[in-house]
Amino acid sequence: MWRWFHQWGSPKFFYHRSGALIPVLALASGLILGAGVFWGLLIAPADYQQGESVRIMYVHVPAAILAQSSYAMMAVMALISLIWRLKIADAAVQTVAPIGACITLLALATGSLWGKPMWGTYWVWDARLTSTLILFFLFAGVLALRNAAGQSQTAGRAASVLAVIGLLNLPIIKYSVDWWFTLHQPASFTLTDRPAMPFSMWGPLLMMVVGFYAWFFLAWLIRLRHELVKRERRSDWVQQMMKQ
Amino acid sequence: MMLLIRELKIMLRSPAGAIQSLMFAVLVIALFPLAITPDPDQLEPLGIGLIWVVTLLSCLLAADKSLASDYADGSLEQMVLSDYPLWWVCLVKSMAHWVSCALPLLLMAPILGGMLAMPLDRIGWLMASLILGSPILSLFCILGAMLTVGLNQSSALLPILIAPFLVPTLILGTQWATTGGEAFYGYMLAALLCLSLVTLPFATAVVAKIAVSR
Repeated sequence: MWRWFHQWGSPKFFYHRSGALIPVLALASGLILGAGVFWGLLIAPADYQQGESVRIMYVHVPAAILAQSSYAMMAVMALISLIWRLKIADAAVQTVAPIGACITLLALATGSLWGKPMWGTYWVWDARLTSTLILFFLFAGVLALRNAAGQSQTAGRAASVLAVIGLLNLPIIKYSVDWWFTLHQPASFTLTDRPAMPFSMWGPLLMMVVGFYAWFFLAWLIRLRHELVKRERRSDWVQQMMKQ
Repeated sequence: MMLLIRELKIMLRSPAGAIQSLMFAVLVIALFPLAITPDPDQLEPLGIGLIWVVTLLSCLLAADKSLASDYADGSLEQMVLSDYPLWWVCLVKSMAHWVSCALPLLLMAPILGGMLAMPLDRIGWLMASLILGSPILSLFCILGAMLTVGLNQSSALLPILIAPFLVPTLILGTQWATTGGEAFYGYMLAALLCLSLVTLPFATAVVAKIAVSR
């Protein structure tokens, strides 16, 4: 187990081994996303209440799920880089932050587009919307600190501490936002209280979620490999690779 | 203890910073009736929220300066190298920030509340919520100051980093005050204060080591 950990922690080993994953992930995300889009947007039935606009769900829900879990992944990588000082974990934190921020923005944007036909407004201060907005600000904070502190190793460690503190605070933020709303006045709209979905709807939804994850890991891997080469540009293995 | 006395002395000898952040708060509160309406009936429900937000903003504004001079003349590095436990140094810094920034605002709260036409019992709850809530603001502000010290960045960076973390405090504090002291919010705010007190100085200490190694 430890040997495996150390091997994959070395930028060289990681770079050479992970290359094989790219076509697999590209194919998987392309096929699954394509099929999911086809199934969800063209075949799946329209909702009896929400009509055609329910199809926004097939983009919105995967984006929202991925937004939260990408923050968790970033924080775990940050913790690893703080404890074991793995260079690759630090590069992983740096490269996942912009992707996560974009996904969170996508979740917010699709959510507000869905809100217009459903609730008659682009934005309500619903607990879920608010905590997703704060999640976006947390991503923005990590990105801003990164940009401000430059490329040094200490910059990475400061951003990692921020990411970890953010993860520990996320439940506090989430619950406080929930109480703010639920005790104050009952939530008028929740996304969860939909009538139980038939398979023809959750099937494509699940497919889209899997496709989003595949795409996410693909994007992360490509960015991470690029970042590794950039950081290790003075090392032998990169120099050799460039000569070939 | 010596550290705390040092911080307080520095503050007493140059009170300009504390006075300025206080002036900032009073000025901003004075702008709201000008911008919205002078009608007391419309101002009164906004009072607690406005004063809380202004407190939060002036704490964030003052945080930048609270470590800058110590970092510039090397005393921060000396404190990290000294025998004092580093979490204690960070806690003292937070206390100093609280005394110089939140405490004057707390004392001014009746006047600020009066400017927004708040009745006395509401002002009482507002002050109670600020007493419990503002130390959390100071603890987070020092964490943010430690993260950004020496970065030579725009002053907007620190608020961007720290403001999301202050959301729970803001929500619990304002809810506690507007509901007229509903126990649930009070307990939660107190719990958040305890949690912040025992965790944040240690987190700030980790960041301080990174800051001096820059």
